[in-house]
Amino acid sequence: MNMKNLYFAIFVFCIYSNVSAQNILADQNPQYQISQAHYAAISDSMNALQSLTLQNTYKAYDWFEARQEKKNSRIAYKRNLKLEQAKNSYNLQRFGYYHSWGYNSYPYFDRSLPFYFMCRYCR
Amino acid sequence: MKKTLVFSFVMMMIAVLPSCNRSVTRIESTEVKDLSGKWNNTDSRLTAEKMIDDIQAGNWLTNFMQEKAGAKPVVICGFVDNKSHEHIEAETFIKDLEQSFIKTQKVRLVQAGKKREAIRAERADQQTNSSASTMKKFGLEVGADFMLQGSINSIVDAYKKKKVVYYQVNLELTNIQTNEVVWIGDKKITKYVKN
Repeated sequence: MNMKNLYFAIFVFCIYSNVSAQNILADQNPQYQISQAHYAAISDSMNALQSLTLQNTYKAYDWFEARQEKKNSRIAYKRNLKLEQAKNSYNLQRFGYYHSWGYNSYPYFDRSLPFYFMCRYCR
Repeated sequence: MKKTLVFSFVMMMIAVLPSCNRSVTRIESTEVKDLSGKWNNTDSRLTAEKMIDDIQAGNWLTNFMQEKAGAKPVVICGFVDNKSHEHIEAETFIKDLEQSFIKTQKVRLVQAGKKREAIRAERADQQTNSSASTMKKFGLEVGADFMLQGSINSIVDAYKKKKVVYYQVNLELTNIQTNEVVWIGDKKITKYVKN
């Protein structure tokens, strides 16, 4: 910035501040424009929440609910365990890790194939 | 024999079925109902009542009015630090306190926190959207003289099925200009819980 521009900027600032000073009301904070500029930048996002209910809730302890949740989680755990066990035994049989026929295993039903209700050895 | 069995089954069902139905009844907010022994509405109400009495009767109020030629003090509510072992919502008794300021007209109250931010954002919005005659200006808010802050502490002493829980709620008022603490209010609640 050359000196000419610098003088011009100072001149504009002086004029602006003089005009601003004249516009200040009695007892008005002389620094109010800082706050105004700050809030003007964020007013859109903040005002978007007006006339809404902000749900800052918390979960209160309830003996009955806690018991029911515990029961539900226990049921879900057992169900998942059974599913995992069934999946593993299915995979093991399919890929022949164990004897697929004999005393160590049992016939399985592949639902992806037709006649799934029949044992694969009977198809 | 069969008839007796059927009769006893029916009677048992009659006895059991009502207990499965949930019933709700409205009770007075001033009624004391202690169920779990935790912080409840009665504790909040007792705290509010004690704090309101203490703060309105405090010397800080008369001292300030004498110093400022009868002007009412302006108070802003700061945070309450919950250091207890439970979830305690301080807003329930702080709002009662704020309401008492407005009702009695002894103390002026200014908005704080998120609500103040929202007010300022609305004012900023008015600068470009409202008519000139209705637009509110920046830099004309009332500055607070005092800030209200608080803390909640608890001590739990338990042995086997017995428990003593002690709550101490403190609110304090500090002069924003001089940093002088002008008032401290407290409410102490002790509970004996037996399982």
